[in-house]
Amino acid sequence: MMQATQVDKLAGQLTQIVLARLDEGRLVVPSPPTVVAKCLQILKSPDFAAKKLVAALEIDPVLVAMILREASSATHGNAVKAIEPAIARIGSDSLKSLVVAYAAHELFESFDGKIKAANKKIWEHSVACALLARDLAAFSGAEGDTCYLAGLLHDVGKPVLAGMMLEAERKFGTVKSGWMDHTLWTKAIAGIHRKIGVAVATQWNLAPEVTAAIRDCSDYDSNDRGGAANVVRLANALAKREGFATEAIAMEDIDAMVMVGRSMLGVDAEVIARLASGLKARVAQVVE
Amino acid sequence: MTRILTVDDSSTIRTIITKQLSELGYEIEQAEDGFQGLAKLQEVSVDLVLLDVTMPNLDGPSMLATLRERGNKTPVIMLTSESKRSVVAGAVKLGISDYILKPFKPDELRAKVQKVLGVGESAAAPAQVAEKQLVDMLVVDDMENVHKKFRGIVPANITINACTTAREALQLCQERSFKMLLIDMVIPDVNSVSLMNQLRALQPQALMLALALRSTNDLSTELKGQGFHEVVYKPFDAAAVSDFLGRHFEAADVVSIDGNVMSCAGFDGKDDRVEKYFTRLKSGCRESLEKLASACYDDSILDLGSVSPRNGDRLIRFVIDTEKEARRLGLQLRLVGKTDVRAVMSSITETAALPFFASVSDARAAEA
Repeated sequence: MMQATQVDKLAGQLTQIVLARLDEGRLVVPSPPTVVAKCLQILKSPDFAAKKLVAALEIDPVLVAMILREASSATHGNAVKAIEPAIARIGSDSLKSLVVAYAAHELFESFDGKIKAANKKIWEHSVACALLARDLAAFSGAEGDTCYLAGLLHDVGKPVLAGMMLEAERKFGTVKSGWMDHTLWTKAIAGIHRKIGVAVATQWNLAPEVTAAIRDCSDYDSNDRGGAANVVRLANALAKREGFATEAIAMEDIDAMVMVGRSMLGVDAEVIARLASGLKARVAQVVE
Repeated sequence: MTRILTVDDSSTIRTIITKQLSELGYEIEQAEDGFQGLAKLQEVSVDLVLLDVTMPNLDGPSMLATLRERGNKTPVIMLTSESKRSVVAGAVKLGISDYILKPFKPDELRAKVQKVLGVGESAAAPAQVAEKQLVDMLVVDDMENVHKKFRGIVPANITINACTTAREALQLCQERSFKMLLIDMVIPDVNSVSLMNQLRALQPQALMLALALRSTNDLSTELKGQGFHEVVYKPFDAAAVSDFLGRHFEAADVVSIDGNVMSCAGFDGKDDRVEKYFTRLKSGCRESLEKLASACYDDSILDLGSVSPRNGDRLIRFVIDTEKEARRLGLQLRLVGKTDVRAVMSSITETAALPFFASVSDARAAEA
């Protein structure tokens, strides 16, 4: 077991290394799968050609099946058998969210059992945050899909960082397995994971509003009260309060963030409680 | 009288708070900083403190800490432009009741003050509810033709609002109170389940119905699992719509009163629901007749213009019972209806003798 000072030192060093690489543009963050990158590129145009999108999607049968399932679900209506009408039914904004969610989920996978378990918790927290952010956006005036994606990706830096650390562990070789305990991990990621999340969003060519919301959602901004970053900030606190925390939390911190967020967005406590009711079941549906 | 202390170094803020809360009948005390605030609390007892964070001499958090150290548990609402987690979390630890970010809206100030003082449910809430217009249904569908078709089969006495976008639906749900919301499952770029969840947060009392295209696969189980109460299939089937109206609307909803005219809503549903419909009709007419008697009317017009003659026996029984009730209350009953209903009424002596008119205006003219 490492001493507290050693943990601080190592966490500090790791943070510096990652930040320096980010600044120098030398940090390699994961690219989205080719099919996802291509789809996102096509979807950027408001008048995209459906046939072109179908051709891009058909390379990945899993993604096609996912889109068909979504379009055929009760959320969108009844059974659709072909991909083109499915795209039309879901709509470009929701399709973008679906494709990004598909690719993002991949980042939370790991061959390392411990990291995989930790990532599962982060993924569930992210889904809870995304669902709440989309609902809260309807009350703040922010764009729903922007808030959903920013909520989904606000912690994406964490699994990416975990992967990098695991890689480093393998490279050093001499370091004993398990050298990176939970305390070190938490400290190391605290200051940098959001920056890595921004790097991922940039690499994935997501809308600037999504990237900005990921970058700015650590603190509330009273100059843009109903903005997407504030929506994600409140959704993040609410998700934790509803049992989707990834680490130990101080309840007064969460209550403070919820109180500030309610006033910031102008949403009643009762409305928030109703939005959060049934969250566990909704998250389970997505995570399944 | 309930007394509130506002502690803020800005005289403008203190003046605004004093004005807004005095209008609600509260007595307001003022202090410019934490020291003055503590001194004021030793002079007078207050029910609530509205506390700024950044102030000269003694700031809000320090005043709050001293207050709690002295064992004073007066409720405190932080009213500040400070939104830093560490500052607000510290105040939460010391037991603040709520938080208001500056600049604030008068509504937020009033609502939070009243809630903390425990007057939210008794005084403020009913007034706010009363301000909201009550509407029976909201139909959310991007196709305007759906609104038109739906209006065509729902009785005129059931009020309907309709909109084509999620934004309009949210706006309407903030302004009005609905008994029932019908949400289309295929609105471009809208996740209908999310929209339902958002609308339910604003209208917790409303029934949520999904509007879905009739298909081979039964969506009702899946949709109910997602929070909808029921599914209404398109294209609309008049019988099915009458059925669900019968299930969800009370007796009063099938009879509307205008002056001394009681208009009965029609019914075109399944046979096994007809009995229920006539029970509701009878009960609605009884309530309406009592209202007319208490308003000192001498007679009443029973408008059967929308009622089908299909269930003649039940219709006759309903009219006989209603006429008997009218007589008991000292009211004379005149009937209005189409020729086929008139034919049904003429078939037996008790109802054949009742004055029958082709239109409400004819019945009114006879009354004059």
